[in-house]
Amino acid sequence: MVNRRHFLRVTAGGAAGVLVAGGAPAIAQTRELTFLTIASFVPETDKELKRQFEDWGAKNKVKVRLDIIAHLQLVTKKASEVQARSGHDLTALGPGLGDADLYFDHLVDLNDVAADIAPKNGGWLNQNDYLIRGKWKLLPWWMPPFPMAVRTDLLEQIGEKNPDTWEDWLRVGKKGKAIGHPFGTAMGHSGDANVTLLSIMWSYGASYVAKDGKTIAINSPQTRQAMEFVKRLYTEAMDPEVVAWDDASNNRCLNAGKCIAIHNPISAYESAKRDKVLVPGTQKEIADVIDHVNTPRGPVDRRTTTGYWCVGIWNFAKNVDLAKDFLRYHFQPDNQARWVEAGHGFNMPFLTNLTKHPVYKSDKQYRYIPEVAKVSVPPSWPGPTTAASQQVLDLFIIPDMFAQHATGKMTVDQAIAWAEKEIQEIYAGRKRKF
Amino acid sequence: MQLRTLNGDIAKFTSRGEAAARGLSDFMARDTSVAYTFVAPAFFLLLFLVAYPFVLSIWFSLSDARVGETGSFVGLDNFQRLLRSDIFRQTLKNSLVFTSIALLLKTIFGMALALLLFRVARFKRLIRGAVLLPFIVPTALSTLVWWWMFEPLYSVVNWTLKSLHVVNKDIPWLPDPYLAMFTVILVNTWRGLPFFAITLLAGLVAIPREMYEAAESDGAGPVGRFWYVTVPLLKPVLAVVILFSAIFTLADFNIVYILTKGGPMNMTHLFATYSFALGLQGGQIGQGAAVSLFLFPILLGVVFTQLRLVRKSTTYE
Repeated sequence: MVNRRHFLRVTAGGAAGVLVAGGAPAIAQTRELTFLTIASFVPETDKELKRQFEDWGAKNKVKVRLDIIAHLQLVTKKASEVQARSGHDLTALGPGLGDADLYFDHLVDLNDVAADIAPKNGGWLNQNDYLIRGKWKLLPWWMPPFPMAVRTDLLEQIGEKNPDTWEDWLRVGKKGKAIGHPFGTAMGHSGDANVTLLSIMWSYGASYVAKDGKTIAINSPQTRQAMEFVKRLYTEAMDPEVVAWDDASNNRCLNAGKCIAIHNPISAYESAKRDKVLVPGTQKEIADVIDHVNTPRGPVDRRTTTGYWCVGIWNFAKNVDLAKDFLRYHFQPDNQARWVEAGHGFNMPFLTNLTKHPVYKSDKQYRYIPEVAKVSVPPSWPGPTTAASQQVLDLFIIPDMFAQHATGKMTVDQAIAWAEKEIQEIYAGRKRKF
Repeated sequence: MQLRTLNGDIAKFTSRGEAAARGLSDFMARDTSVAYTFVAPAFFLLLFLVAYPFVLSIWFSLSDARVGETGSFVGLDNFQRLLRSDIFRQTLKNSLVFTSIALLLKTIFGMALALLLFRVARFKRLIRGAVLLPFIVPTALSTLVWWWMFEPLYSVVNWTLKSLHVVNKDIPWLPDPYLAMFTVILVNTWRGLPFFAITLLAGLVAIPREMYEAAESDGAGPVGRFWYVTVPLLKPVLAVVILFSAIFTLADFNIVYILTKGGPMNMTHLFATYSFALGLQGGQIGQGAAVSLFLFPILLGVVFTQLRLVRKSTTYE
């Protein structure tokens, strides 16, 4: 009979044996590859990724585990995995390329993988943007380009046609607001606010950092011009609530039938189509009266940015080679094509051939997406992406600068001086020690 | 071979189990040893879960540590840099305003609620249980509901006010910097109120009825009884509750993060949210730790004085 003492002796002996041997018995050992990613706004994308991951696992006899978390949780998850030097093998990185600089010493060099992927897919879109300190520390994975989503029925109602410049959109917003349908762009602590306000800055010829990545260039007449424009946009064409908007607010504003236009990826349209949202008070589907046009042009340029979602391998990963192998598999043209199709074009890869994917011709809504992708640059543009440039985004310095002026809290000079000082501090504190 | 113990006795070979059992019983026989044994788990728990992270965060705040790098000693550089930052100075102001107003509201309404609960005779348990709900529901969840109530587009608060013709346009609860601060204070007060009310209620129950009867026979009215009997006898409880709440309120994160993310224009950033933005989002652990430790010396002073006051007021003369 097994009594308590006997049981304890046997189990303790077994546990000690495992400890002495330094691992589980060989029979229990299988190779496992783990991947941490974020939940996509178009869930079919995740399903396709999971399918590819499991498919690759079955072919290579590797156990795979895909963990999908909300994108807001990724920040803490990355930091804690690096701090503990343990966690997943593959990880989603971003938004932005800043993680490559921030976690430079903790990511595996992917020069070989990037070089293998490029020729099969017609090359990377803007290769130099993705090299951080001259190295491929991550692979740019997908971006949701930012076109302008507009209600065509309202546009017709106010007698406007083909608005293209930021000034056009101000006029449209003004007329729209007069009939209860304001223009909507976030100006608070949200990623969308960073994107749209940076787009406006660049379109007016301004930028916050120079090409050298050191000179803070925000104090310029071009920034003043952009700020005066945004103040007019805020007071004449928008509702004051935009300073408290999060990333989903503009989607809600469009789909609730309130906003005449929003600067946003096609996610609002996708959810309106999926949920068959109606224009309030009618039987008309809102997706039928939404159109997407190119990101606006300013007096100097047409340029925008977006969330650059990336993928990388931690250098403390247990299976670096397997992880690289999966990346090569996932970035094969046919797998990429299937993945883009599953995402209905929301997840555009940074690979030239994929910008010509048939999905962008399948619906007239997507026709401008490749155009927008062409003028999309990293948020640090024209400077390189660094941990400092990433922090300017994380602390929402640009939206706060615009909002402080637009809401009348500060004069244009005060707001610029405020931002200049904050950005200077961030860049000074981030100087690398070599 | 013989083994000799220190006093010269020949050691007897006993089975290991027997010796251990006797040693243990000898050890357990001593009162102090038992006390230490029982305190040990809590002590080690505190050492590893509180003292270690605390010392580590002090080190971080004095270093240029980044995520994944231990960093090197930089003295008070992090603190000096913070003081130069407008966002940090704003955060400091916000934290003080947020904590003091929320504490004041929680004390006033908590006391009122405790007095009311004290008088409730029917459904006592049910009502007392229900009052605790805001404190029990996970803050992240309940704050999401508040966010939905104040959210600019679908705010039910605005909808109700407009339907009742109290206002004719939307009130910018979250977009307006001052209203946003008001909203986060409101939610914090709502959440912290039960803690005040239930603890003060426990204090109220403990006050002997004779005191009130004596005061009444001396001609004290309800106000007099409150000021001269209830308040002085509740003081120690009140001081402890305020002390705990001050620490919790100052360290609040969830409410601000969910409602405003520190916006609009950094007008609702608190130490925890700003520290999160710097330390975890920006990977500057040193700076982040400096933000969260900034108030530590002041807080230490507050705790010290308050505990002294508590001790003084509990010694009856």
